[in-house]
Amino acid sequence: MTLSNISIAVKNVDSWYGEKQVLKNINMEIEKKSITALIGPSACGKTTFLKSLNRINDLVKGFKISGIISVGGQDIYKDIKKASDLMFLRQKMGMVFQIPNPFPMSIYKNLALPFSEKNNLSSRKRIDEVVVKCLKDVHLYDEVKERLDASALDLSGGQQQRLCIARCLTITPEIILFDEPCSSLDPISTLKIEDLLRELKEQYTLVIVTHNLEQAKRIADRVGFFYQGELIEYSAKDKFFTRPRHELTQKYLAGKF
Amino acid sequence: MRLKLFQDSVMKTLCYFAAVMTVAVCLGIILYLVIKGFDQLSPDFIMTEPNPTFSQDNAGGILTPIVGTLLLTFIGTLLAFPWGLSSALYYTFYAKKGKLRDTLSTAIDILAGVPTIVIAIFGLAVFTNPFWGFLSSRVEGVEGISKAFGRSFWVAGITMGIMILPYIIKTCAEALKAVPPSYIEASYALGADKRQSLLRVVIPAAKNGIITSVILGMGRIVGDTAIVWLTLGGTLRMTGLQPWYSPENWPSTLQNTGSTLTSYIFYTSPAGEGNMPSVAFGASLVLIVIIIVLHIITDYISSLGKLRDEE
Repeated sequence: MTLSNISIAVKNVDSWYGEKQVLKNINMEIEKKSITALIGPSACGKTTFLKSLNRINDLVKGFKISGIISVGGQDIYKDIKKASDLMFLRQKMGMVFQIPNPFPMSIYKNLALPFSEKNNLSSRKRIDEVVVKCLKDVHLYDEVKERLDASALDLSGGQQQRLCIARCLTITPEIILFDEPCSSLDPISTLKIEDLLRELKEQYTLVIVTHNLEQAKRIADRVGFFYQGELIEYSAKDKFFTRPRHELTQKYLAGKF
Repeated sequence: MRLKLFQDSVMKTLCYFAAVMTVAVCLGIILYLVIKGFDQLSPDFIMTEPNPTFSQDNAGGILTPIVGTLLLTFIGTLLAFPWGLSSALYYTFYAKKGKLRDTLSTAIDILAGVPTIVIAIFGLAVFTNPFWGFLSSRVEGVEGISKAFGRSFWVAGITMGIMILPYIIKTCAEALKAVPPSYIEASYALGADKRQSLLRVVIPAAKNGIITSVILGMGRIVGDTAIVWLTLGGTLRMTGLQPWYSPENWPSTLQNTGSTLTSYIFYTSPAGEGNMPSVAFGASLVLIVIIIVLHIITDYISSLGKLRDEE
């Protein structure tokens, strides 16, 4: 990776929930316009790490972090002091959660709301354009174009998750973080999302936490393996799956824990 | 073994009778009111003003009491809703765990437990202060006395608002607490600030619960008597400039006294201060119908929420 290619750089990051240390000396560089998959057993720190990248962990009581996470050259913990800068950071980074969480309002409003709030805008025409474009980008438009005013909660789980991805796109982020986006979906919905991720990486930097080794194999460019709060191994996908360096990685890939 | 089974069936029967009695009491009240009051009901009874008289035939109808009930409900809700919702937002999303939050919680509980007659006396004490004279009328022309009259629709409505405030705060706080944290997380992750998240996501998500809380509050206002009795003045008719219903006289109507369905019942029923049982029963029936309608609306709204959850 060359310097100009790096989207997120992580140096010596440790973090704690209260007294319990959950991340230990993480160092990692995430490439622009690629898919980086973070894998590892439950409670290994991968989700904590992901949620540190857009500081959504700040909402958790007792969360502490040290080290440097720089996004686009800005140290997001030390350089960001004002709430408005933090909001700006989060607008650069979309996030898709484990359980689809569309807002309990219409499909249209789910997308119109973040767009109009971010841009302080009420031109119906412009909002319509963005809603349609984002729905098309996630291949949801044809499925819902007849019922944009229906509640988003009436959609299937897979459709809801794609709606949540579309919702991220309305704020034109550079990076999108995915926290096990397919863990509550059926196989077909999962494949649809994976196809979508492959398309999205043409424009966005994607970081995805997944429990599913096969998924990482299918979509990732680089893979990081977390174990007990440490980043054990981090390398290009092919190397990671065919010639893992570390014994723990080999064991994990062999399904030994 | 046999004894156990016997005890079991006794227990079941006792509980069954307790439940049946509850329903019977409710139906009994409604049935009694329907039998006693139904004859009274007519468009005429609803649409004419009451007449202070000793003769039942000239007693007139209950137009102004109905309007009075609606006015107090409107003023009280208008005051208590934004106040209560803001307090609930503060309690649920802004207050840090600590003294202030505990104090607020205790204050809400105590306020909810204060009998309405005490709140009424307090309201009267405050609003007879000449400073608040614009809400009722000033006592003028009496040497050495500078006080406000302290009884009017404004005063009673505001006092009603204070009365229902704790219920609104509590039920709104519950509705807000029930909003899944994942919505709030999603909102923050989209770069929204707290204000945007609360106004655009949390409150709309809690909408049904909030509306229910307001309707329950309205029900309490409709049913309250003590506050009306002390702070609305003991007049059957509207005492502002006449005709009370023409728009240019509304300010005067609100600054003056009147009655509600509950106080009308009190002043006409022999059980209270009157001698006209049949009109009192007619008014009671109308009152109970209003309460039932409010209850049906509440049920309907909460059923909307349930349907959504099951999907």
